[in-house]
Amino acid sequence: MSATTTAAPNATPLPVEAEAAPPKRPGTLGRLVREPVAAVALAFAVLVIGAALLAPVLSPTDPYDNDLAQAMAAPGTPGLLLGADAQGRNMITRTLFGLRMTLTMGLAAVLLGGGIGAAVGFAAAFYRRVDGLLMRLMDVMLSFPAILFGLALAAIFGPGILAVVLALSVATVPLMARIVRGAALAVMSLDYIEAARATGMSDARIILRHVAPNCLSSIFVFTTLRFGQVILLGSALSFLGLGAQPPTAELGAMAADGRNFLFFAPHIAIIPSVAIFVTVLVFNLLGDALRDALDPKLRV
Amino acid sequence: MGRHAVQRLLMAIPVLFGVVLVGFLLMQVVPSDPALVRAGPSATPDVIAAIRRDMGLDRPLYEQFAIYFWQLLQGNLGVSIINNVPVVQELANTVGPTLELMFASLIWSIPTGIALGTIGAYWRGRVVDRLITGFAVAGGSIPVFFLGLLLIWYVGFQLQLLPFTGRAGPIWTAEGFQAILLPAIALGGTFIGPVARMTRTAVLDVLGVEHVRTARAKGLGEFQVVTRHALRNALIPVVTLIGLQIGFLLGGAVVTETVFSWPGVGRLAVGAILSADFPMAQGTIIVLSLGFIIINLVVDVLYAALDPRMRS
Repeated sequence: MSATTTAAPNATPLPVEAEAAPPKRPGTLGRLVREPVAAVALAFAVLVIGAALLAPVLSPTDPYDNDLAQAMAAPGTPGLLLGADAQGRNMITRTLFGLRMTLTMGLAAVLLGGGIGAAVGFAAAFYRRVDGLLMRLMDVMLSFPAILFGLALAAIFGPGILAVVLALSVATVPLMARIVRGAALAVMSLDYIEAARATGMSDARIILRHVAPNCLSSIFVFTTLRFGQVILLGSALSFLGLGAQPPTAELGAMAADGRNFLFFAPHIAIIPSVAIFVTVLVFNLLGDALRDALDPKLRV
Repeated sequence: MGRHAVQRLLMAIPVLFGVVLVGFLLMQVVPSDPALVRAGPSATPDVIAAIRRDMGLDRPLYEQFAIYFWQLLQGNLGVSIINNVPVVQELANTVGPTLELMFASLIWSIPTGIALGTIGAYWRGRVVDRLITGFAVAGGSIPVFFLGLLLIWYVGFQLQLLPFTGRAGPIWTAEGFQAILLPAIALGGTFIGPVARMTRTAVLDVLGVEHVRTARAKGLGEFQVVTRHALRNALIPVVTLIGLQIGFLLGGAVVTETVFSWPGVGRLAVGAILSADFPMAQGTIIVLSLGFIIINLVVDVLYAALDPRMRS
């Protein structure tokens, strides 16, 4: 056995074989950047995430620094490229920090809800006895929209970031559970899972080593698409006053604050709203492109 | 058909019970004591104890739930802490405007979305298809409050074309109709994108099918082929998907009502939560949940009526 394996690298491959080898299929990233829309979306996604990560470095001022003399200054005022809000705080700083907070909320919700949803999906696919019960429960959760979960959780915990993250997580669980269950069921019908079972592997090991890695592309595509939706929903909850509380910079809450000055200084509401729109659009486009590149079966 | 409807109705009962139970437990975990809130800051311990007895708060939890459930069946959802008005009365005043807003949003957005989706599918890959797809993705990415604020600022304030705050009467009156236009455009505007995308996919699936080719082969005009043979068959999945999305439109209605100060259930719910009016918050959440359950039930039964294959 060892003799053949050590000998193999030294063997000269036949020229015919080398010629017959199919051209290398481009990787996911390669396929992604070939589509112009996808390439632009990817570039913008990197930009948005970079801006959020580097907010403390890029911001010209502190997000809570205010100068009432500059209150409601219009965009283009010297030193204030995007103007100032009603408290005279620099809109560039507020928007960068707001983006950071909004993305963090979205990420937390996608990770928490997606993680629990994936666990439920794997459990439903693997243990057929609980499948019916779990999926009915998911159906019930799915019939209520995230805004309603947001209202209920804000009523219990009081308005705040915690209520929004929990609501968005709860709304993500059933969606992820369905995606993962579907993907896992397809993988589990394959022979090598039965082979793994026959070797006496534990359930957890089979799921983690053999089922989950083969469901990753579906999970990744869904997570990207869901990230955009979660940001849209989270900013709506914050806009309603149920999420981030002043003076915290968060895009939805900033838009709500700007609503009060819409007729004197529309930029206070419009700038954070545009930031939300662009972010959600970028992740929706990227999710669509990823789906086409990674998982063409899911194409809608 | 009837059996299917009854079956779905029976399945909705445990969900309804669950919603009521969650609504009840919601009040148990709320950090403030309802008796304390009712008694006011200067009440003596004796008075608070009396109020607690009066409200049944000294009884075991299951007894409290039984009483709560019994009162709910009689249509009693308690009284607002803030203005002492019965919750049911406030709900009765706000359900109508919410339904009105949803109706006004759907009546124009569904046909528009279906038309755009069909056009996109028919001219697949052409410029018009790309434009429609781009529009649909953008429409699905825009926050409803942003669309609302833009409409208020530009159409309402700059052009002074339409009123942008509150409700001015029933939709069939001239003032009422004008007042609902901007909120309905904002809420419906976010709905066109998803409908157009769903329709495009469904029509694309049907356009390649044999009976459409047969319709063409027998010399039918293209318009007839698309509307009578392709769209008709594509509508079955579209109706279901639209139905499922209508529930979520109610979520968008909560935001739209707040933006336009529309006196609906959503705005009532948000106001109640922000002012810690727990009985009102509980009542509005139960009623909104009921709305979702009813919408899903109706869609489910309608789907079975449209497509007999789904009844099994």
